[in-house]
Amino acid sequence: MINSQTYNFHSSDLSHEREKEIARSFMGRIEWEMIVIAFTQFFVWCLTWYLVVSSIIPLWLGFFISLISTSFAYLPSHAGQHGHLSGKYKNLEWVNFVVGQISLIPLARSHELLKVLHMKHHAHTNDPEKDPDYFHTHVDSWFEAAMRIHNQGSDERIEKMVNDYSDKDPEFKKSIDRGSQVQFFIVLMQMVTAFFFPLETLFLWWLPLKITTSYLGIVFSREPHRGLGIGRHSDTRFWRNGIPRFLNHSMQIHIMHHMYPKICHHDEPKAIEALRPFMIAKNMPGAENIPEKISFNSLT
Amino acid sequence: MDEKLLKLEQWFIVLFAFVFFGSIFNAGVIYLFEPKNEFFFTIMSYLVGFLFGLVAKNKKWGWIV
Repeated sequence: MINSQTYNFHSSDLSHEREKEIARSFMGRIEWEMIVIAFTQFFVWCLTWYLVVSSIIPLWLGFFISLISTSFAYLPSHAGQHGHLSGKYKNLEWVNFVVGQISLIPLARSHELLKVLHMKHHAHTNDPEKDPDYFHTHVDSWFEAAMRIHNQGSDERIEKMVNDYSDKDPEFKKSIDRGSQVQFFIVLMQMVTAFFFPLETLFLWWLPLKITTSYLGIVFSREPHRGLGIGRHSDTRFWRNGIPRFLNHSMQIHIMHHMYPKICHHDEPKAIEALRPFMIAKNMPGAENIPEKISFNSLT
Repeated sequence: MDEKLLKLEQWFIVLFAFVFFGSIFNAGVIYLFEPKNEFFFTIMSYLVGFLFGLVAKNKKWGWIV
């Protein structure tokens, strides 16, 4: 693996081939960290339910624990959507779906549904006609991003987008149909749970998932993309917000993910250090502010 | 067939609000006010949940699910 120590920053070879060669050196491994996060957060969430229902801990404490654990629910699915959980091993591709779906239960979402829409987001980032995330990324305020992301399922513009993709791509339609069935089943489970444990479902499931989804809309979607146009080297920015990157799930370096989505989330700091000269040379948004060292830098 | 499915999908939000929010409203009322006539308040809570669902359907409030 190439890193900032072994790669000469002052090399004059900033060709696309060299860039790809460096990027490839960070690809292909199984991102075991995400598998650990997926099962840990799901276990904590289940344990919190047990402790609250058994009256061992109060509901308000359960709410805060569930809120924190649920905020870790999306990234393992996201890693699965990009195949990071199976790495280069084709026979392990099922791990992406299984771990991704288990991780998403606290968020009450279908892994497959999110995956097909997320792939379209990558293929058409910031395109108002084709990017399903466009309507909560290109908004004027955090509040709008936090609110609009909840209406994705009922937004007519996104519905039209999904219908257009479904007409053109039968595989996309199949994934949407399968994902919708899983989504329907999870929502049905929420209804049943709410009937038997109403306040617990509100405070341990519904509210944490709504707050986390708003957080995702702001930090994962709007901040890296707002106001930017179309183009692989211009659709995502490097940004800071005064909060250590570990508390933002490292979304400040989301620019790396859009440049090479096959690089695992936990390898992005090393990759961005190695690819920084290429990013600056390509005038990628905010690239000039990327520090030389990121691995142990909190990026406040 | 597709149109029927679409209609079912649109009405599902009403069913969701009726069961999900009706149950939550009911539990909330009982927890907060400890009413003597629980049955009446249960009926009222589920009715409010149902009405909330109708409003959500008409206003396309997908966020409630």
